[in-house]
Amino acid sequence: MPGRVKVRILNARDLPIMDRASELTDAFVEVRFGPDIFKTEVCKKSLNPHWNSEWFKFEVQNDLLVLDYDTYSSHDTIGKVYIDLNPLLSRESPNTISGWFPIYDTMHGLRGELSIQVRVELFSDFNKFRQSSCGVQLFCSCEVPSGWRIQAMLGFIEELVVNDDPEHQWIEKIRTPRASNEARQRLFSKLSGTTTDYIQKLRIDHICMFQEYPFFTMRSFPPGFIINLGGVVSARSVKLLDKIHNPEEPQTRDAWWSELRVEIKAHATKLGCHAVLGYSENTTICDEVIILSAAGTAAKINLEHEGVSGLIGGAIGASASSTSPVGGALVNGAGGSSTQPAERGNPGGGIVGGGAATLKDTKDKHLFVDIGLANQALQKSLVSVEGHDDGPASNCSLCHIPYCPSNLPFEIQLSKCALCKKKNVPEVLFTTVDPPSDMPIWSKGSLVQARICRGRSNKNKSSEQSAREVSDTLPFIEYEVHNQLINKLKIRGLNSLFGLKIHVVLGENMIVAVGTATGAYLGPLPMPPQPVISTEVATAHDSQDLITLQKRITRTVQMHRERLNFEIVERQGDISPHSRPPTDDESDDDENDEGNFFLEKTKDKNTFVLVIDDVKDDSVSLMLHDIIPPEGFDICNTQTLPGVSADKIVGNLQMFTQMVTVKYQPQCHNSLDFSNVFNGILRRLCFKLRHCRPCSLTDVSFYVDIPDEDEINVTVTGCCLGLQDVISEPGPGLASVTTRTALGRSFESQPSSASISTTSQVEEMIFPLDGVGDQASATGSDGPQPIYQSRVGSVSGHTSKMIKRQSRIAVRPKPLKGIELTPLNKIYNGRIDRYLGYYNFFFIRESTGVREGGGIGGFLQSFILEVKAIVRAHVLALGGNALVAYNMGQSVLDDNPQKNQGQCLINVSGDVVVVCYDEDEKDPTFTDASTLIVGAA
Amino acid sequence: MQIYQTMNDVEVFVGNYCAINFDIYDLWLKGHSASDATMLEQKKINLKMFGITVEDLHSDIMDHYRLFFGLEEMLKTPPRLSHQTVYQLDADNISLLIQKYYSFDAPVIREIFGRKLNSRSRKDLDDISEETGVSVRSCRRQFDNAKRVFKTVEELRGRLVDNIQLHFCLRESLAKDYAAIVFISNNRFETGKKKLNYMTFADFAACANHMISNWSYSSEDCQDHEDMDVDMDRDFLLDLREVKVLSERDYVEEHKGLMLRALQQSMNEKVLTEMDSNFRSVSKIIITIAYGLNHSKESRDIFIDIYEKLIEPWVQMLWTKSDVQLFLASFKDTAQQLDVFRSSPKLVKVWERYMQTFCPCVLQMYPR
Repeated sequence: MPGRVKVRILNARDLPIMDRASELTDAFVEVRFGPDIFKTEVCKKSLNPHWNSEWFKFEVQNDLLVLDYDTYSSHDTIGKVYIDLNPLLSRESPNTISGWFPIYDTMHGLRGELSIQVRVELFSDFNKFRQSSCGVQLFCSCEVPSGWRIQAMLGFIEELVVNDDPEHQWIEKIRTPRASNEARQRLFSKLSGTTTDYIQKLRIDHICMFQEYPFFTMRSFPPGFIINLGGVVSARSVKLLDKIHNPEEPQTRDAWWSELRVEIKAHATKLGCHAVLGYSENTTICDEVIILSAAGTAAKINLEHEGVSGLIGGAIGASASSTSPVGGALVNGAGGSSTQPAERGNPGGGIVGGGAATLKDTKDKHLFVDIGLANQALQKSLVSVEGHDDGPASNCSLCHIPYCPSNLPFEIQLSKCALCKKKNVPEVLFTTVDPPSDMPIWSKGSLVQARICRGRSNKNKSSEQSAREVSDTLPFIEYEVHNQLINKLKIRGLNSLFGLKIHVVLGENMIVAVGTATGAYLGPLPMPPQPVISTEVATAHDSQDLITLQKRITRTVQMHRERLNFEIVERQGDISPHSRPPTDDESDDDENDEGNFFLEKTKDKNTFVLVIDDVKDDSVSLMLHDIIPPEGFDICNTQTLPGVSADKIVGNLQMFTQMVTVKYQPQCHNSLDFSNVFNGILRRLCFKLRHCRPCSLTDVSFYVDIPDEDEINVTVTGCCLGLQDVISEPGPGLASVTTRTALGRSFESQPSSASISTTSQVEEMIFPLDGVGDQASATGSDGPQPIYQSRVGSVSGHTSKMIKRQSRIAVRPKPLKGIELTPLNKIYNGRIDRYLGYYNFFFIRESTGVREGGGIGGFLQSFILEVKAIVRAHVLALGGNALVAYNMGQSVLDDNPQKNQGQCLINVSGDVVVVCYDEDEKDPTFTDASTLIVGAA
Repeated sequence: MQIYQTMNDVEVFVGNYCAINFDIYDLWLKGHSASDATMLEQKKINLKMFGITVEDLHSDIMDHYRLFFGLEEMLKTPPRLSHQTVYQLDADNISLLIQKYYSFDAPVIREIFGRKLNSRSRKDLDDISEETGVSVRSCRRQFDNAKRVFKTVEELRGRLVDNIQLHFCLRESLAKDYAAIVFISNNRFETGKKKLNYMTFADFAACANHMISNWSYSSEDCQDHEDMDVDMDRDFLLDLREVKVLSERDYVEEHKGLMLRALQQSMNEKVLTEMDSNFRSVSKIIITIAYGLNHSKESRDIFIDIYEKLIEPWVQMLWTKSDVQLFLASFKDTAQQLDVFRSSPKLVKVWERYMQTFCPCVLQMYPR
C-alpha cells in the first residue's frame, strides 16, 4: 500500500552522561525506515538536547512495519525507539503519533526519552487499499470488543512463520550482545508484522475455513450464542524437531498442527458438538523434543445467531464488500535446537474487525515456529451495541448435555437438571471459556489449581528415546491434573470449572503441568458428594491417624460448604425470579430452610471415596493444604469473578506482574513441595495487595518456565479489582447477620496450621493491616465484628468510633486515572470509546552487571517496570489512555550468577483504547471506597 | 540473620501503578537492612492474619527495597520524578517520596555542616553515626543530600530558597533548612567548637536564615540581586566598615549615656551597673564582629565569637534573656541618636541591616 511517512525529531530529555570528562552528551538521532536513513544534527553538550528537526520523509510502497530510531552520542549508542506504524493504517484511527518515547537499550535499559512526531499519509487508492491488509483491525481482546457487533463469523485463521534465531547465527565477525539482542527484537517485530499481515490478507483468501475448523479463540460470547457446553477437549503430541528437514519452511509444523486440530474436531464431534470455543494452542520445547498442545471447549452453538448465519450463508460475498472483518488470532512459537541455529519467531495475534483474539504465545529459548490462527468474522460496519443488559436470565439449558444420554462419549454419571428437572446434566462441567453471562452460577468463583512436577532423566538418551519417554508420561500427567482438579473442586463443594488452562512445560530433568481454572457451583448440576477416605492398609496405629485425617477433611469440607451456603442463598435471592421454576418447593420468604438446603441436600448423596495408600498420601494433603485466600480476597482466572455482579466492582486498582524464581529439585518427588511453591506465590500476592481489600484478583494467569536443571520460573499476571462492600443490601436483613457472624467464626476454625487462622484471628482479620496493634484489642473487646456485618449494614453503632480511627488506617488506594494497563477486555468505571490499534512487541534485556543492579531480582523488577513504561508511552503517543487485553505472554529468563549475567525476554501485547471515564460516577465510587474503610475498621 | 541467607528464591512484584508502602520506605530511609526491617515489621503486623511466614514478609520487604533502590536514582534529581514514565505515581506520592528522602535527623546534619562536604568527610561518618545513634547508611544519605543540594545551588543566581525548591521540589520549611545548610557550609562558619555543642541545628538554621534574608545578595537591601545568593552582599560588608566610627572614644561615651538613660526605667539596678561597666568592651566586640565580616577568616568565627565574647560573660553575670534583649534593642536604637548617624542616612541603613540580624542571632544563641 503506497504512502508516505513523515517523521520529526523534536527533543530528548534525561539522556545519560556519555562523556565522562564533561559529564554531558553530544547526541544525535538516526531515523530508519526500511533501507532509508536520516540523521539529525549533533546537539552538543546537553542531556536535554533540542533538535526541532525538519520533517524526514519516507516513501513507502509496501505495507508499513516498524520505524526505528537510534539515538547516538558521538561516542556510543544510547538506545533505540521502535514505533509500530500499523495502528496508523486503520481508517478509524488518527494518522499521527506523537509523544515522548522512552529510549531503550537492551544492555542498559531506559536511558532518557525522545520526543517524536510521526505522520502517515496513505494515497487513497481504494482498490489497492482493499488488496492490502489495511483496514483489517486486529484485537487482542478475547470477546467482542465493546461498541462492536459481530455481523458474521468467517472462521478460524492461522499462520505460521519460521526464522533463524540471530542469537545462534554464525557470522564472520564477533557480534556484540547488543547487536544480537537488537537483531532478535527486530526479527520478532518483523515476524509478528508478517504474521499479522498474512492473517489480515487471509480473510479474503480463506473465507471457507470455518467449515474446516469450527474453532473460536474468543473466550466470551454474546448471549444466545452458546446452546450447550460439552466440556474440555484437548490433544497433545510429542514431536522431534530434528526431523524437520528444512527448518526454514513451516510445512512440517503446519502438518503437526493440522493433526491436532483434526483430533480436537473429532473429540468435539464425539461430544455431540460442532464448535470449539476458547481454543488455544501451545508448545513447549526442550532440546529436540517438542510438545504441541491444543485445547478448547466443545459446544453446540446457535447457528441461527446473527453472526453465524451470515457466515454460513453469504460469507464470501459479504467479505468482499466488508471493510473490517472479524477474527481471532492465536500465535504460537516453538523452538529449534541449540545445535541448529534456530529462532522462533513470534507472533502476532490478532483479529480482525469485530471478533476477538486471544494471543497466547508459548515460547522457548530457541524459536522456530510461528503460527497465527484466528477466528475471522465479518463486519459490514461499526455498530454500537447498547442496551444489552436486560439482566441476563439464567439459562439452565447451557449445562444440559449436548450428546445423547443413550450414547455417551465416555463413562459419565448423568443426573437430572436441578432446575428444570427434565434434561440431563453431567456430574461436573469443565470449560476453557469464561462463564456466559446467563450461566446459572450460584456461588462465587474461586481459583482451583492442579500442580504436577515429574522428574525425567535426559542423560545418555537419544532424542527418540526421550521423546518416547515423554509421550509415555504425558497421559499419566494429564490424568493426574484432572484428578487433582476434581478432588480440589469437590472438597470446595463446587461442580464446574471455567477458563481452564493446562500448561505443560518440558525441562531438562522435569516435566511440569499446571492446570489453572476458576471453580464455581452451577445450579443445575448435582452437588458434589462429601469425600471419604478409605485405605486397604489399615493397622491399628494407622486407623487412629486415619480417623484424624478424615476429621480434618470433613472439617475442611464443612468450612467450604458453609461458606458456599450463603453464597448460594444470596445468589438464589438475586436470581430467583428467573431461575427458579415454580415447582421448586423453597420460596423466598422461607429463608431459614433455604439456608440449610445445601447441607441437607448433601446428606443423602453418595459419598466420594478417596482411596489412599497411607495417611501421608499426597493427594489428600494437597487438598488440605491449598490456600484459602485471606478474608477480603477472591481469586479467579476468568475475566470477571463469577457470582459477583459488575456493579459491585469499584474499579481496577492494580494490574500486577509477579515473577518468581525458585530452586527446585524434582528428585525429592514430593508433590506437596511443588504445590507449595504456588501456594506461596498466592499467599504473598494477597499480602502484597493487602491494602486493596476487599478485592478480587481476576484473570490471574500463570506462566511457568524451566530455565535450568533445578530452577523454575513462574510469572503471574492479573488484575486487582476493588469490590464494594454491600452495605445497603436489604435482602437477607438482620436475621442473617447473626448467622453470618457465627459462620464466620466456624469456618475459620480450620485445622490446617500452615495458613488458616483460628477463631481469635478472625477478629483480627477485621482490621486493616496497618495500625493493627492496640486497635485490634480495643475493638476486639466489642465482640467479633466480622467483615460480614459491614456487608449487611447495621454498622452504625460502631461507625463513629471507626471514623475516628480512620485517619490512622492506611487508606485503600482508589482507582487512579493514569495510563491503565489491564488484562481484562474492559474498563470498570469507564467505557471504551475507541480502539486505536493493537500493540505487540518483544523486549530483550541483558545485563552483565546483575549484582550491581540489586541482583537478579533488581534486574527483573527494573526490566518489567521499563517494559510497562514503554507500553504506556506508546499508548499515550497513539492518543489512547489504556491498554486492554494486556498479555505478557513470554517471559524467558536466563540467569548466570557465576558470570554476573542475566538475560530476559518478554512479549507484551494488547489493544490500545480510548476510555471515557464517567466523572459523575467517580464521586460515588470514591465515597463507596471510603465507606468501606469505615466499615471494615 | 541466618534464616534469610538460605533463601535464594527471588520474587518480584510490579504493578501498573507504583504502590509505595511508606512504612517500609521509612525503615529504608532509616538505613535498616531488609532483615532488620523484617524484624521490626514483624512486630507490627500480625502475620497469621494473612497466613504468611517471616520469609514471605522478608521477600515483600526485599521487593520494596529493590523498588526504592531504583527510585533513589531519580530522587537525586527530584523534578525528573514528575515527568519520568517508569514509575506511574500520583503527585501526592511523588511529593511525599521526595520530602521524606530529603528529610534529615537534626543531630546528624548539625554534625555534618561543620565539615567540608567532600568525600573525605563522607568516609568518617561512622563517628557521627555513633554519636547520634543514626545508622551509617542514613547518615550517608543525609550527607549526600546536603552535598548534592550544595553543589547544585552553589553557583546559581537568585534566591537560595527558590533555587532549592526549583531543583529539589521541597516544601518551603525544608528548603529553608537546606538553605541554612548551604549558607553555613559555603561561608565555612565554625560550628564544631566544643563550646557551641549546646546549639541545635534549629538554632543554627534560624541564625543562618536571618543572615540570608538580611546580609546576603537576596536581601531586600541588596542592590545587585544578580549575584550568588549563598554569599554575603559584598557592598554591604564594605559599608559595614564605617560602623567602626562608633568605637571612637567620644561616641562610645555618648552612646553609653543615651543607652543607660533609656534603660533606667525598665532595667534593674544590678544589671544596669554591669551594663555601665561593660559597655565599652561590649560595644567594641559588636563592632569588631561587624568589621570582621569583611575578612573571611574572622567571619567564620562569628558564632564562637558571639558566644565567647558576649554570651559567656553575660551568662556569668546572670543576665536573663530579656535583659539581653532589652540591652541589644536599646544599644541599636540609641546609636542612631548620635550625631554621626543623624548626618549619614547611609550609616543608619547599614547599622539597621546589621543589627536586625545580629540581635536575633544572639538571642537565638542565648541559653535559656
